[in-house]
Amino acid sequence: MNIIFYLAAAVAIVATLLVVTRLNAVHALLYLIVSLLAVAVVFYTLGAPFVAALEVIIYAGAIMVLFVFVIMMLNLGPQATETERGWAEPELWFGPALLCGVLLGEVIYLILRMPTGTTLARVGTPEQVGVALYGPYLLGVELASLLLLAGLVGAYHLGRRAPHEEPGGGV
Amino acid sequence: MNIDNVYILHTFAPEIALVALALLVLLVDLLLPKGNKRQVLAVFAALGCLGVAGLGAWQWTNGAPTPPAAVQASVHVLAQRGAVALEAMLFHTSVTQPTSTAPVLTPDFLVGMMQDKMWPLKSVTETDIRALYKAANLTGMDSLNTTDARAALIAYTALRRDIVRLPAQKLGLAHADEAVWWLFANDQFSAAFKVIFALAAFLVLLFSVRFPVERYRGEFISLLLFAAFGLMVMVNSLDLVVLFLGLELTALCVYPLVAWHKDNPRSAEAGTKYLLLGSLASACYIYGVSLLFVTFGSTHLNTIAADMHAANPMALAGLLLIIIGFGFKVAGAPLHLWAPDVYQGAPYAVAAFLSTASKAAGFAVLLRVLTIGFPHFSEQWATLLGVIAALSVVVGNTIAVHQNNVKRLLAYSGIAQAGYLLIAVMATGAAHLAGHDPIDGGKALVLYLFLYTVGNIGAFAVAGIVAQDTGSEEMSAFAGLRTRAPLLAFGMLILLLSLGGIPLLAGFVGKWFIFLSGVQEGQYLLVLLGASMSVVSIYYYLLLAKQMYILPAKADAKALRIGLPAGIGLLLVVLLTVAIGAYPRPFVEAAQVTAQALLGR
Repeated sequence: MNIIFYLAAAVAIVATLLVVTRLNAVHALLYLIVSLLAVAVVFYTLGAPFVAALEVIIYAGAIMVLFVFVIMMLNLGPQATETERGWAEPELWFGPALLCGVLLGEVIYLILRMPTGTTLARVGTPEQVGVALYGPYLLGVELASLLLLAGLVGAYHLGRRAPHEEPGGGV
Repeated sequence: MNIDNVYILHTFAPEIALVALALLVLLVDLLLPKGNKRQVLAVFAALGCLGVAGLGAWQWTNGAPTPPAAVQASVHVLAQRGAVALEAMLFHTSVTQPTSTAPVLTPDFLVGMMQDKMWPLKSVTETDIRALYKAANLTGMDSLNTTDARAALIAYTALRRDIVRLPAQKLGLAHADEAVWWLFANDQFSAAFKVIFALAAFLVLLFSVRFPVERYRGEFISLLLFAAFGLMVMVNSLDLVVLFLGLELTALCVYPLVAWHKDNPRSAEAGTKYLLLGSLASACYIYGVSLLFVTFGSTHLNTIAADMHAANPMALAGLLLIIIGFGFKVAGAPLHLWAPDVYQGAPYAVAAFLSTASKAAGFAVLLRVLTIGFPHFSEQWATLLGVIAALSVVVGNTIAVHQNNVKRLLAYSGIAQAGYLLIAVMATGAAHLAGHDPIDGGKALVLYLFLYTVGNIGAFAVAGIVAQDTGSEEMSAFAGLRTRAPLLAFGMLILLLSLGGIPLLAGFVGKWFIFLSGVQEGQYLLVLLGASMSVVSIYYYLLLAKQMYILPAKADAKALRIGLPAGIGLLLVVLLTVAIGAYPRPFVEAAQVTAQALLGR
């Protein structure tokens, strides 16, 4: 189990380093997803399968969706197809795929190795998370919702197009 | 409405009012027609903030625990002592409904429960329970089933005695709502800062009425109110994660506020800069919290303090990262580099809020986290803060001398002020080390934060009014202000002299108590440095005064209109500055009470 943990942690660190050093945003995003998946495997090996699932669904899933949105919104036009064809180049997907392969191998090994009828040490089951969120941390959840609202208002201001902003209004 | 909702309304009245006001502003903004009617909205929101400040003041005066708080506290004591849900609920019932037939919680009853198999935590011994009763001075009393006041007495005595504390969430209380209270302090210290933040929002809104943000008035106001709300959460929270929520809530509001004039490249650049560096600081903070969580299994300050017996390197690393995060917030050197650029790009109203309320929250939280959570590390953090304080005082004051841009001048002066304030925080740590009463440092901090918030917002407002009139942010824009707007010039003069620490004005009183607290702890070098650098600061404040009073106005300069809301705000600021300077006693006493609530034992 220790080897599995260190392997996944190494994948996470390598992928994160590659995120920071890639010049191409698409490359960086792919490595970011790998990094998040690796963290999910780390959570799984630590005995927190629910947290691992959340990591995959929320982070890796949400990032993927954002990625798709960016492609949809930024690449309108005839050159978009050309650009997308470039994304199928092996040099782009080989690195992330290799790291993902390591993670996949680990997960398969974990699944095969786990004796039937036993469970991992349960930390952070859905029930525990729910009880914590809507019990002691109820006000924290409310606060998080206000945080989202405030972020929304700010993003609305920054994102909308100002038709005739007066120049030099720096006061 | 059940009793918990009443508690919530009672305890979080200022916060709830502020959020309601922010939502109302958003709604009204949708319904209002375009145009200058939005100015009415700003004034309305400002008055609302005044109401919020009133609610905060009401909480501050009702500092003693009220019956609902007593119930909450007594449940907590049982929770902390390791009682099962059953006892907590029984106790809750017996307190809230004195006539009910719940079993009386005598020492013998509790000891019996303990010997029973139902007691889950063996760490609580019979001696503990007897000690608890003895601590509450209730030996021989046959029943706790009396009044709320007595329950409160027991609870608070036990809390003061610092017996082992456990986080409520570890206990799996069936009636988990009670544990909500665990996250917030709700003391006079946080109430005082709620007043400061609401006052800051009030002043900033009054001054922002005349600034050209009318097209986005609603969002501007509501974001400002949300930011103030986030600051209130920060100073009120006892849990480092909830604190982070407040921190991020404020930050998410301030990023767009800084970049408000997004078509102006300088404003956009300032917003980006603040976003990047602010995220870095947040990351430092939350990484520090995660290290603490690894060490202690909790992010609650009381638990951290109770479980910390020896200097643990992991905990020390976590503390260091947290201090770096807040050092950025309060713009202490060497973490100050963002401040001049961000203030310069931000609208004046936002720069005023950022340099005062946001900074005040940083200091209040720093004081709470360090003194409540890390008294065992006093030596380390006091030394670190001493270094940051010395650097800030020197760097801020010497660079400010060379500034021509008024906003940058105020930014560097703010860095220097952060240095003085850090001396006060450091003095509490030094006092703790020496076994002295740490209240003097806390008192000086609260007093100085109050007068600095009020005075500095005023200075930024005057600078904003002048800049809007002349279209220039340079110092030369102030030339001949005496003839163009005599009252404005006089008000600015008073505010500048107060910031410089001239006697009979507020700044002098504040600096006096800060340096006094430093001297009492033997920090002579640091105090000497602060005092001599504060003489340097008078030089550059007087440079601005020279522009206003000695240099002639430009030939084509017209008289300057201030406007009623800003005029009222300015009058209030100047009056407060003079009042604190001339008759400091009530303010000092209030600061004393506030600091006592946090640091008193």
